[in-house]
Amino acid sequence: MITLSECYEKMEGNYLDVKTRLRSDRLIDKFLKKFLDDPSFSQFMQAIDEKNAKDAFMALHTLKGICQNLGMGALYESANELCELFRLGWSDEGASKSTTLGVVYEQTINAIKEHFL
Amino acid sequence: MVYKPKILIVDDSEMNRIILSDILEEQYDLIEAASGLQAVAKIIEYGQNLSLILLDYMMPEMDGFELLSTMSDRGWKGEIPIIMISAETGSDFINKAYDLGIEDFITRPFDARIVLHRVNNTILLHSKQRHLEHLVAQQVKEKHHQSDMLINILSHIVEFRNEESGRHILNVRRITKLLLKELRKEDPNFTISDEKIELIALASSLHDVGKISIDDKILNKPGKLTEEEFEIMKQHTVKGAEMLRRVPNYQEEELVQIAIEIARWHHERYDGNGYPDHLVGEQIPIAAQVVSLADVYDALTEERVYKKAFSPKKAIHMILNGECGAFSPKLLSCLTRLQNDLKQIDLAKDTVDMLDPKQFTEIKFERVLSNMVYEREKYSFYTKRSQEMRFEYTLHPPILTMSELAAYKLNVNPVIPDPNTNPGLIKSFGTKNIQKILAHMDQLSEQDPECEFELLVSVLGEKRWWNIILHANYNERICDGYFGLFVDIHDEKMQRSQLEHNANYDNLTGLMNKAYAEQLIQERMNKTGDGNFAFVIIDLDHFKWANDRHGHLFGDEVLRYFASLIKKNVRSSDISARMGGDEFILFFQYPKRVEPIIKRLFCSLQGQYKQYPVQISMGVATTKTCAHNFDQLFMKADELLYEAKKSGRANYKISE
Repeated sequence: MITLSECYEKMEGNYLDVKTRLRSDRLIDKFLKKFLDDPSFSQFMQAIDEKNAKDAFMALHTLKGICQNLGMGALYESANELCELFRLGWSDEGASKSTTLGVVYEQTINAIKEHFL
Repeated sequence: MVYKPKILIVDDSEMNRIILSDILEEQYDLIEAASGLQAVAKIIEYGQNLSLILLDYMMPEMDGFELLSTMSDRGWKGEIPIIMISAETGSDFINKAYDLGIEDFITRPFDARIVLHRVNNTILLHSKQRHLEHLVAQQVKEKHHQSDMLINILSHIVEFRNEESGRHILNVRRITKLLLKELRKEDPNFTISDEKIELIALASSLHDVGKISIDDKILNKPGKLTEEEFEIMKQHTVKGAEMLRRVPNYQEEELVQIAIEIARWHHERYDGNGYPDHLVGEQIPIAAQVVSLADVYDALTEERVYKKAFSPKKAIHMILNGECGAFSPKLLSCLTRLQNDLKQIDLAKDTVDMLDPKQFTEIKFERVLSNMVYEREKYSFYTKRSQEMRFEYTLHPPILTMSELAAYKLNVNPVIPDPNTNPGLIKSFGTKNIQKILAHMDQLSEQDPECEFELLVSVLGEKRWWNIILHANYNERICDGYFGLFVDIHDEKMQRSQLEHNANYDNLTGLMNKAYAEQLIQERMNKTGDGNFAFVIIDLDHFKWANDRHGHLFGDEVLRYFASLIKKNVRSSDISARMGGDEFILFFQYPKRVEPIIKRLFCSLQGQYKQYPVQISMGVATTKTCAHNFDQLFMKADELLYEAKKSGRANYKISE
């Protein structure tokens, strides 16, 4: 079990900023737990499999918004970059970078899970 | 229970909705929608009971901007305040959102306390604004009512002295308004605002105010005035203008200025022969010209002490003829064109003209959404009471609304976004039926906007026949939706088919009766043309004996038994019937020879029922020897049956 502050360090996020915005550790905990079930990332991966640029963009846009609100810095940066690549349609570059996003997503999820251990 | 204002959260991401809910749930009652389309459904459902909408931009089906456009199209813009939340930060984007009618914009990542503040403030501001609008509207209305009332009282006093009815002033006011509007329509050089028309019409009420200074004896003299008296009478124009000019404090007011013009010059003539100043043509201010014409027209069409009322047609004829003064040709043509309108307005109507509602376009007295809530309540009351199942389907966005009873019976929500893919509807109607409904919708046109058809629908788990009545709604040549009724016709339909069955089948044996068999046989022969058909009449041998010996009930059992033998031994395409008593009919088509078939039938239709040995005699007519005609076949078969019976029963005769 790691503390919230440590968890945010692992996610390259700003814990203090999030705490100011979302008011309490209890709420941050609640939202992080909920994030483990959020479908945006798998929706993005499915859109990549189906070569569906619109769905990919939509999923990334949602993912980026959530990361931004929950202050998950690394994942936000990665999702934001990809989101822009898919804004105007299919992007091969975006598709190739999806693995990087996957790695960051994995790290983020692991950090959250470690916090809840 | 504490009342909490309702907020609609529109966001496709559950995560985002949860975060917002957490911030707001303490103070607000939250309703969630996962798409723009669902949001429209919720807005229809809750209407003005929603205090605020929190709107995400990026959503499938219908994004935030599309939702805003839809709300604007439906006239909901400004009815419910909207705050948009988005990670987009481009100023073009944010500006567009404001243009589409949002109240506020919050960018992600947001601070929970700031969201709460903004939500609180927006709701507060909006409700204050609503309250103020209502107050201002009330006050403006009240103020107009009062000033209107005062002027009417004043002008009525003048008329009262004049011993005339109080209607003249009101009529002059209405006709003045009509004439000015007509003149504006016809003369492109004559530009005048609605407000100015109202003002002139109001000022027209004071045109005869000078008469208050004229001696009663002259004013109300029944006979013709002497020249001297007429000169005094003419003074009412100058005196009226003078009185108005001396009104303290208001000389600068436009209303007073116009009233002075009218009072002084409403007896001038276009040809210069009027009084008091002998003004000519357009020297006479237009307000005075119009009131002058209105005054003359109304005087002619009203009854006075010295004259009867003329018809509008006659009055206009007299005016055009120059019998009652000289007027501008433009005004005269306006009067002529208004002939029908003047006849139609009930000039004698004794009410005060209230202000022109157009003046209030800026202030909404009635709000679209509150109307909608009211309409829905009314609609729901009527449909509940009448047990009607109504529905309405709008295409953009695709939303189906239906009365509660219909929703209950179909086991679905009364408001359904995107109904074509709704699992509940698919379950109740079935995919095929939905396609059928859509096909019917496609066939409707503006010229032919209605249709009805029957469907078998699953109603609370039971299959029932419904009649669907559809009406396509056209708006500027484009179909924008449908409304209609579901009518449960199941019982009626079942009853009808039961009646039909009873009318066509024999109660005892379940076989057809003779009349129905005849109809089908003739139809079959007409349809098939010249195929080989056999017509058989069967008679049970010694049935009367069995009946007499064992009773009628036993006889019935025998008949039922024999009918079951028939059913077992004929094809479903063959026609078998009970003709009456112990006689039966068979009718069938055969390929070449009928004899082997008859032989087989003859054998299989014999047997033993309890103590009664079932034996038969048959007469068989075929279309080889008879025409394809029921009567001829029947007669022939009957004849042959008689022969068979005569030759010792238990055999058959064929006409082949």
